[in-house]
Amino acid sequence: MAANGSKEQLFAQVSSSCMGLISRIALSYEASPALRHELVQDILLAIWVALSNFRGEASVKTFAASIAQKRCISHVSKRAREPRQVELSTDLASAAALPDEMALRNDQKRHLVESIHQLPIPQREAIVLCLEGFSYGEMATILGISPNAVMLRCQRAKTTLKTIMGRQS
Amino acid sequence: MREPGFEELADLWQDPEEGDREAFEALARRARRRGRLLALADLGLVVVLVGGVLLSVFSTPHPMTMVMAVIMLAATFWLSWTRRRLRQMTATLNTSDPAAFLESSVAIARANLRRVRLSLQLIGPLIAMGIVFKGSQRSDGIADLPQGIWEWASRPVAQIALAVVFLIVLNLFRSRRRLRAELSRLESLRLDYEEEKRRDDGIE
Repeated sequence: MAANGSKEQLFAQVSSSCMGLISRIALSYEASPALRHELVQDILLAIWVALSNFRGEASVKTFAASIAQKRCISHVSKRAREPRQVELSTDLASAAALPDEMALRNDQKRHLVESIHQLPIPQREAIVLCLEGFSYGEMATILGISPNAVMLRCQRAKTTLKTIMGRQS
Repeated sequence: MREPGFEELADLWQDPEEGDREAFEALARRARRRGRLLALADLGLVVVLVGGVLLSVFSTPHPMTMVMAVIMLAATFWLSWTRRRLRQMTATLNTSDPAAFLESSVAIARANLRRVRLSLQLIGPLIAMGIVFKGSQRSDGIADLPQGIWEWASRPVAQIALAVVFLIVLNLFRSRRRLRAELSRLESLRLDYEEEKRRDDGIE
């Protein structure tokens, strides 16, 4: 069990090094910026509560990703109603006028995120971790399945994602 | 691990973007604060309820008031203990494997549903006890009790309290409906995971 001092330090470490990871995992489950803000808050609270039981068996990043994924699944199951296929808000892009190349990239990212939202949750979990650059071993720890199963699931998720992206474009 | 094409998607995905570090840090600080507050919330609730009941007893000592106070104290302790146990279960995150996680999520949703049902079952008798308790402070005996209750209920503070209780009851009904929907979504998610696992096992 993490002592109170080290819990503070670990939490500071999580909030300084896992900001992008947590924000992107939340993005893969929630399109609405306001709800995503709440979701990130919930993830951070869950990490704070769970840090008491962190024993350093995995890296802080793996630990944070694991909790973030679970929290997001809880968020999806607790949604007041099924989400409509909402357009992702423009907060993915900067509000300032963008050069064409940047605007195109933002469009591509929005397209990618919308496609990820259409994946079944077990595949979505896998593809997001894949996109985040986790190794199969780390993904196996996070998803609680064997590295072989992770590899197969990632393959299926990639195929489904490509199909969805192709259909959308 | 990544084939060509996927590498580009990964770069796109990890694009540094709107990341507002200050806002994130503020969320982290709030989460830490909330975490600490939650740990104290149950204790604080008991202290406030017990303090309020004891204050009422000492301000107007009366045998009927004493009896009602004892019943309310016992109900407060029991209810707080039950709620705390259920809350601890809710806070537990089983991060080992998806099946266990989903099972614990279903168990948590069921526990929450039980908590809401328990609250719905108890809130009626508790309101009645509370009204009798307040009425007993304004009467000399059972014969005067209706008059005491009427006097209490005529006060604006009492009407506000009853309105708040009514809103709490409405919220409990809303929570019950939401929890039922959550349970159904979790069941469907469990089926998705089972299907995915079958496909993992089938190919492996």
